[in-house]
Amino acid sequence: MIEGKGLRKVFKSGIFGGKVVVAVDGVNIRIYEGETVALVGESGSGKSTLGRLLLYLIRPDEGKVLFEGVDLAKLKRKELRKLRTKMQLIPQNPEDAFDPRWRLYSSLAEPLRIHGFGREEERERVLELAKAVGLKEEHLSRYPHELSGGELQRAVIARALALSPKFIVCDEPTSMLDLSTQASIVRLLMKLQREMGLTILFITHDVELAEFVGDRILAMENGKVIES
Amino acid sequence: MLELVNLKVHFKTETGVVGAVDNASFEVLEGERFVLIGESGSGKSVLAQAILRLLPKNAEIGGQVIFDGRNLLELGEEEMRKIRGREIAWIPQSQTALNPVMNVGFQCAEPLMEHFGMGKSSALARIARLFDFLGIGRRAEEYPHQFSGGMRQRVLVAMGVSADPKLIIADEPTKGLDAAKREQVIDLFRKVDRTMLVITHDLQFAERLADRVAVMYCGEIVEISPAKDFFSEPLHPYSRGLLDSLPSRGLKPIPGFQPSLMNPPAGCRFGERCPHFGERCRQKPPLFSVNGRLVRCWLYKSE
Repeated sequence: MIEGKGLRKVFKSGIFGGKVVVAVDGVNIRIYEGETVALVGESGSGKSTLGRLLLYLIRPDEGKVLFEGVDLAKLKRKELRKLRTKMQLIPQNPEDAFDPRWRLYSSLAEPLRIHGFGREEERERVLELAKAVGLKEEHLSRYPHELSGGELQRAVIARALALSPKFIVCDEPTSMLDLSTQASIVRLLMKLQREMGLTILFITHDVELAEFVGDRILAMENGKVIES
Repeated sequence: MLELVNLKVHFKTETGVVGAVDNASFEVLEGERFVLIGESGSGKSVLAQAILRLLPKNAEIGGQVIFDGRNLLELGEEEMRKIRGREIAWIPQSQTALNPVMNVGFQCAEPLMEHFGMGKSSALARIARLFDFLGIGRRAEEYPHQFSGGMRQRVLVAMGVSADPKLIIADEPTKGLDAAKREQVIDLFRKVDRTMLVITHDLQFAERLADRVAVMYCGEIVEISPAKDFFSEPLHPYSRGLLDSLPSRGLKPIPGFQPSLMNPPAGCRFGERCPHFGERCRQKPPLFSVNGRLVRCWLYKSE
């Protein structure tokens, strides 16, 4: 499904780019269709950067990313944009994933609007998505600050699913949530994964959680995948 | 050493009264590490802040906080200042607690100068030794942004223990830290070896650190148990639900959501989410005593 070959990403900081951090250092990774791969590592090990490289949200300095055999670097801007509907990110902090001045409905409908859904179709799809992640219709008319962390993370998942993606990177999706909420969100992701046949890269620093969620586990340290 | 008697905290807001803490009573014994477990919105941080009277003006506090024979809620602000930092230290959450424009050595030395009238150089010398002991190294001249999250936590611990307090209250000391850094905090707290009241929602951390635990749900204490008993056999249905949410124990979520503190259920506050809910749960359960443990649930009423 998705493959990274010889991925390397270097961040430079400081005036004149004096400080150099090699975030991802020569990583080969392959994720097969329908599986959940858990990626564990301490903070600073490069796991989030690797996730974003695979989604092509940041460009690698070396190496390439293949999605269903297609080299993403060779795609034109328009083609890449179309492909992006197939790959989604669920970020760590749901609190700042939404525009605070938009009602939830508008945030969930935005990707549909951009990709040419009609009014009726759009409303139907938003309700369907809300139902799939366990949100009620009344939640849709609320603003982000009126929702709890768990409800917001459900909404983030609903938006990520809006365009029927195939591959989802979950970047510490529960580390900001309470323990009992974490369990319900992870259960939800696992259920959706089965029902929709999603391919998931699940990034976490919690080894026990990784063991529970992943079909396979990869461990990262200092920018390298050290164990698989 | 520290005893709470029917501590109550209410906030008056524009939309109504929020009862953040309702009749909380427990005692922290000399030398023990007492861990208060609760999820966000349970009132656990408010409880801790009420002890040191760090709450905003719209908070109404009732009951008693007895520390070394004195009720802290009756002391004047001047007397309270002598207690904060000197007798009871507060270790806040790490993200924003340090002053960004002051080097960390000076920030830690401040309580020594304030409470003991020490000169700057002797205070800094003592901080340097403390930094060595806590594994921070010779970094007193550096500023908070130069420290990682785990190191900042150490600096806060150093600041907390610098004036040699009798009791340390720490609020979510592992928030935002990964597993390896959590271990370091545990080591650090053991090394400091002081009477502690630790507030957390991190169960794995609590298990490693605590002598006794109290569980808070929706503003109420629902269980107080020795840590060993709690983790092998939690009594309250909410405590069981929490432990079962751990990935290592099956990752089973508790159905439903915590009710609002503005309008909590009249009977058992966990009732609507509880698998054992029955008619008697419409009455508020008291704390029952079971083998030296306390639990707020009708299941433990002796016939």
